[in-house]
Amino acid sequence: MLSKASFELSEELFSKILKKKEKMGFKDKKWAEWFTILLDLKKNETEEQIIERVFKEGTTKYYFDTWVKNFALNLQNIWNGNSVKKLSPKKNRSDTSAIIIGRGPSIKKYNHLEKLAKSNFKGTIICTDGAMPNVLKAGITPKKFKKFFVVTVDAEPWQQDFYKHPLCKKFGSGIKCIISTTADPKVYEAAVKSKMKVFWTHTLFDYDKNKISFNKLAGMMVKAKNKGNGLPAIQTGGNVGTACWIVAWTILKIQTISLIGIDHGYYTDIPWEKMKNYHSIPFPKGVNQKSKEFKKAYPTIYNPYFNCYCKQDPIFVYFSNALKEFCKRKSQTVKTINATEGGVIFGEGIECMTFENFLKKYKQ
Amino acid sequence: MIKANFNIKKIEKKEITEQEEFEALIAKSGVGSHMVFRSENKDDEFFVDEI
Repeated sequence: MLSKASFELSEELFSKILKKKEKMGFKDKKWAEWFTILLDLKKNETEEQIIERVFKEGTTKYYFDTWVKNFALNLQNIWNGNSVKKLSPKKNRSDTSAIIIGRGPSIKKYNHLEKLAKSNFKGTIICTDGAMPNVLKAGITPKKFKKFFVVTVDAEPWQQDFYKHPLCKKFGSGIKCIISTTADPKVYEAAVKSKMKVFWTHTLFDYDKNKISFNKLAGMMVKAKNKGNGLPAIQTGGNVGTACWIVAWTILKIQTISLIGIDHGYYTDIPWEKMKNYHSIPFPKGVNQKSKEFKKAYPTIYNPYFNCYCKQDPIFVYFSNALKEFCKRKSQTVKTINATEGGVIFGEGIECMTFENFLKKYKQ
Repeated sequence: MIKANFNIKKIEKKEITEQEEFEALIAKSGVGSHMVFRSENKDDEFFVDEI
């Protein structure tokens, strides 16, 4: 013991303190435990909240300057360009469906692109930018699939490579590109060079901070020279696949949305050290893979709908927690059908079926 | 008036806690492409018509 501290309180004040302690669930617990929570020294967080907090801090630190720089460089093109609002029909579309195409491992394993290319699907294709070259190569092009969209939300300059494929130039005039105001300007340039029609949207990350938020400032700057017309802002869920899902029902007003290539994880047959990490970040060294904490951060999930196991890194846990929560929250008005045939996107508000069954059931 | 006493105890922190280990693993794994947005206004979390 180092020291004692003593102080005097009125009975009334002490009574209020006791009531507060009880109200916060610490009636029979130690004073030190309560003070730790009261003073925010240890947050009472769930694992999902811890993951979101750590990634929010890391992502902001890593990307904020890039987002601001990219937005500044895009501003002239935003002022002169099209809002993603132009793509919105007046009413919700209950007569059609959309397929979101990611590039998770199941898409190759189950030949989903080949199946889609051969199908008579008449609905909307919404492609993540990373999936686009393979999608076009497979014969899924605007020539056959008239309603064809691609989405970019990432800020990295190498996203432009997805737009430089020769098939993008060949079919670009039939592709509508939805791009974040914080994407690298080279992505916009590559899309325009491929003759794609580009539509701008903000992507939400700090809108809740009111006037000091970058989202708010960016919104004001767009309106400054746009006849007072602003752009919408979308949730990304941390990744372009979830952003595509958001675009499908918020912008395109489509209420039946299928997912392929949205695994949010890896097949389990390759050890972590040998895995080519989807996020291009090497597996951290010196990690105890037998620890309880490792198994929480890098879980292996059993998918009962597709009878398969999927392993995740923390980034995929972050993505999938959000997408599953969003699907559940919107399940009354948005039907989400996971036809990935692998991965971890299952649960309340998500219907799982094979892609063949989806194509049979939802041709229109 | 009530008199209260607190005994202040020095604790030598020797090991990282389980939560700290968990957070460190997450932080070491990198960053995603973007961020999950949270708001007190839950409707705003998905989409804002114009900002």
